[in-house]
Amino acid sequence: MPSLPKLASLWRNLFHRARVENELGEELGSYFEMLVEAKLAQGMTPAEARRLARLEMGGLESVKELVREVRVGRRLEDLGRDLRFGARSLRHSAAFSATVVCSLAVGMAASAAIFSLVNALLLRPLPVPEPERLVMFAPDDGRRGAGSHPPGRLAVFSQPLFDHLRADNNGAGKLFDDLAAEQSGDTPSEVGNRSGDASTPAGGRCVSGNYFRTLGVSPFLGRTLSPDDQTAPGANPVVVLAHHFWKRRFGSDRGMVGSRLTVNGTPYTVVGIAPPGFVGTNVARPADFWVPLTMQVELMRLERRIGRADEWWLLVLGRLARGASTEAAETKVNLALQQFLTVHPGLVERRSSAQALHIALDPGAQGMGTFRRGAREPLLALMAGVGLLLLIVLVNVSHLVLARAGVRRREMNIRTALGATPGRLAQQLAAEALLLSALGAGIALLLTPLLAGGLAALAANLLTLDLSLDGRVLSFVVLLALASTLPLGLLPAWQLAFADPQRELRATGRTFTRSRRRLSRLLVTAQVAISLALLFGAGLLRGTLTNLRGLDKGFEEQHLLLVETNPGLAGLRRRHGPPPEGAAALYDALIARVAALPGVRGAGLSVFGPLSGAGWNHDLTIVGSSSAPVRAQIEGISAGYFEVMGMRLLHGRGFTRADDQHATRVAVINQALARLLFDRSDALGQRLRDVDPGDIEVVGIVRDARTRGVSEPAPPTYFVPLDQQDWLASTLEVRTDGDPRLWADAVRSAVHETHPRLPVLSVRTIQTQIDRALAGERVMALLSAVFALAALGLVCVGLYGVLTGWSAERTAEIGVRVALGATTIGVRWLVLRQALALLVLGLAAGLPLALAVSRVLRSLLYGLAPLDPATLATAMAALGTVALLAAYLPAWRASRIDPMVALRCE
Amino acid sequence: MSVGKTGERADLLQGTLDLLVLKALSLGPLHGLGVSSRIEQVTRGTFRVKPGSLFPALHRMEQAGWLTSFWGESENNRRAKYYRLTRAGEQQLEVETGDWERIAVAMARALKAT
Repeated sequence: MPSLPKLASLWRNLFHRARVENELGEELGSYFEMLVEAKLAQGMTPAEARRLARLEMGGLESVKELVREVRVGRRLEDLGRDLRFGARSLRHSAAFSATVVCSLAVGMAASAAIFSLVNALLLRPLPVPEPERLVMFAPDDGRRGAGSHPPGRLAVFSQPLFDHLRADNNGAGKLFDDLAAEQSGDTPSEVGNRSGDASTPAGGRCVSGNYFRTLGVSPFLGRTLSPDDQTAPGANPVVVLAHHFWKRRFGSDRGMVGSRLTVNGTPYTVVGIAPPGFVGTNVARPADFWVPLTMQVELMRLERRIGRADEWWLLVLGRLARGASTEAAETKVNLALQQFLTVHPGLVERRSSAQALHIALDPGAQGMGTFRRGAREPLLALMAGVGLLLLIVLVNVSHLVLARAGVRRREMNIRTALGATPGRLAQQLAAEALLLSALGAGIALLLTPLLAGGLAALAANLLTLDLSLDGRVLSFVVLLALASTLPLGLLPAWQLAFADPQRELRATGRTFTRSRRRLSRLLVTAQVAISLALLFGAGLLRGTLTNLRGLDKGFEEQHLLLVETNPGLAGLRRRHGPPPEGAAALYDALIARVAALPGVRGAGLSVFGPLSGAGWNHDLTIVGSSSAPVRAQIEGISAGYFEVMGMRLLHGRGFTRADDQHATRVAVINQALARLLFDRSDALGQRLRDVDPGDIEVVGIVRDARTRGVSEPAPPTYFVPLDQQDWLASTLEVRTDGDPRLWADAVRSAVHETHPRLPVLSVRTIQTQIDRALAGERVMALLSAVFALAALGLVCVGLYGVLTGWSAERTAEIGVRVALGATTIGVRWLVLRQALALLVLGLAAGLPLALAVSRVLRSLLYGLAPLDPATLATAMAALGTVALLAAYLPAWRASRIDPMVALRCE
Repeated sequence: MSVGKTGERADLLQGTLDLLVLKALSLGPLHGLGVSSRIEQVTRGTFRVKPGSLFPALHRMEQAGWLTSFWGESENNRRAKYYRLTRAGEQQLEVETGDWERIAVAMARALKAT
């Protein structure tokens, strides 16, 4: 701890420098004079006295410097001086500085933006207290195809089971603070003011009363839901709005709290606003509002699920009690599950499945979400890309710095000769490096949120992702900046430490020492190699995307419009068994009206729709056969569906008016299901049985269509008429003559004319739907393209720098050549030859790296061999072009060298 | 090459130099030349302190709080900077003198031993 006198001195030294210096000068001056006087008193002549005195003193400036060195605050002074000098020096080499700063900024911004995205989606914990204590009960893995009985690992729960688990927890030795439940997926809804003017589509979910409390979320305004909001079905019309929704739709009007809203036709009271940044447990699917579980029927417009042990629709999460272990909790929970299944024997179709059922507790700090699962490979690939990009940046920057250090060699040597220690010089270089890194980092920090936001929006429409620079991203950028300071600063300092000043001073300053040349070449070659790997990777991912887009999906991909709707809001009520009352009439009216629009080839309805991400599965058995049941997707469709969708019927027939709720059940199966069920024998006429009463007759076979996912082959599916199942149709398919977007408004009007309360929740072309399904692949292709472009830019800059330096060093030689008769083209070729040599070397070195990259990406590719020659050739060609571009200017300049000037300049 | 540069000999002498300066000032305030003269006198010419060592030491010790300085007039009515021991400086003198005597006794014993 510095003492008081020291601090006082520090103050004086820093802020009253002029005075301190004056005093010192005066003091030493008076010392000198007194020394002279003493010598005069000894009898010397004035001249002799002064000479001896000067000798004894040994140099006024030296003494002053020695005194300065022991001054408190010397280090700070030095740093300040170094920074000022560094700034001036950098300003003088503006081109160099700008290049380095830009390289650093680009590299850091690209890396940080991607890291920011990865952070927001995968790493950042939910904005709740102690998120590490949260556990998800086997979270939804993105396939909302919940079945009539759950598969081995319990993903969704029924409400009585949830209650049972909660009750079990509340017994002795509570392992959880509490358990909460929320609806799996959200319900697209219509939110409007009471007066009934323009309503907004929004996504909301039902949650248990203790949801917010278990998570630890406090309201921003008003209150959140409480256990008191879970009294009786339909008796709790309260709603909590998400902050972003409240801001966007209601302009952050504080008066909203306590006011009335209608959601899907039911009036609710807004009791509170959730805090900003909280969008529920799935950041990739943010919720706009939350209502209590007891409002399930009103919100979802489906049959009642509360109180029914056979309706599986809830996601469960829990907060572990302090000190409780996940393993103990998991064991207890599974015991409770088996208890429950014993009490409700009819729940699982086969006894052996009951024992196989289990609940797994996954860590819930990041919430649940479709991006968690299957995110390992893309994450690995992204991080590899980031690493490679940063490597290129570092190589680039080191190279530029080395080139510049060579130019400053004389300056450094003179300073050494004047008495600077290697330590001081290194300090000074480090200060310059720090300036460059800080500038680069500063620019990068400004660019990162913009870049990240752009990527998120472009790639996956994730506009509500919180991409603000949190601690993790900031420290990432700072780490990058520091890591880049090291090569910037240490490399030239290292060289200086091993330099012999005598030899250096004698050198003309133009000799390119052999070791430096080798290092230069190595660095640029490395850059080219890494760029090749990145370009190749980007090419592969782009190719994958193109392949997937170009796949024959089995249905119409151009002239199709998809309209999301909810007939429940038009008064249709789901009931178990027969289709809703009035459904047939409504569907017929809707299809007739839309099909009558000019330019519309046809219209159809389906329960789920293509690539909707939703589905339902049943186990099918063949009547009269003892073979094992087959799990298949079920889809309810209108009669004209296949025609509208462009799905070809291969055998048999489609549905007609005769296939209504009173006729025998019929189904059209797809090829995949036919293969699974019937192997050799003919499928037509066979009878199937699923969980609902009545045997199903197979009346037709339809061509496979990729309705579940683009890269996935068609799932085994059986199509049934809308009239013969009890779900509501939620998607309207419209086949148009031209660009389907042109019909959006007309279709909207037609829907409203059919029934004034029939909502249009969204209108999309099939292309958009396909793109949404390909969101992951699009993200990867986009991000890898960012890497590749950045890499290309950096290689260009790096090559340019090297070639410029190279030809500058060779000015004399070129001058001689020209004087001896070399042509302009000859000189240009000299430079280009250098570039080509480096290029070829780099490409050769890059091939094994490219192979490694393709191995990392293997699981993400589709339809491409790991070493796809076409992609490789394209990547090489791109690099070659860039190299030639980079070499052009230096080559041109070299050819303009005037031999007279070249030979004269030293 | 440069005078009084911090080298091996200077390091060795820094401890003893501090002690000498403190002792020199124990009898009363002196300016820079006065301190080096006093030291030369008292050590019978053994230690001749060059300004390159003297002034850094003086400034260092002033920063540490063992000396204070003030401007005054020299014998020949010339303006000069005088240094004076502070209370802390007096204590430091005692401490360092004690240390030195202990070292001297130990060294003498070591050298006398066969």
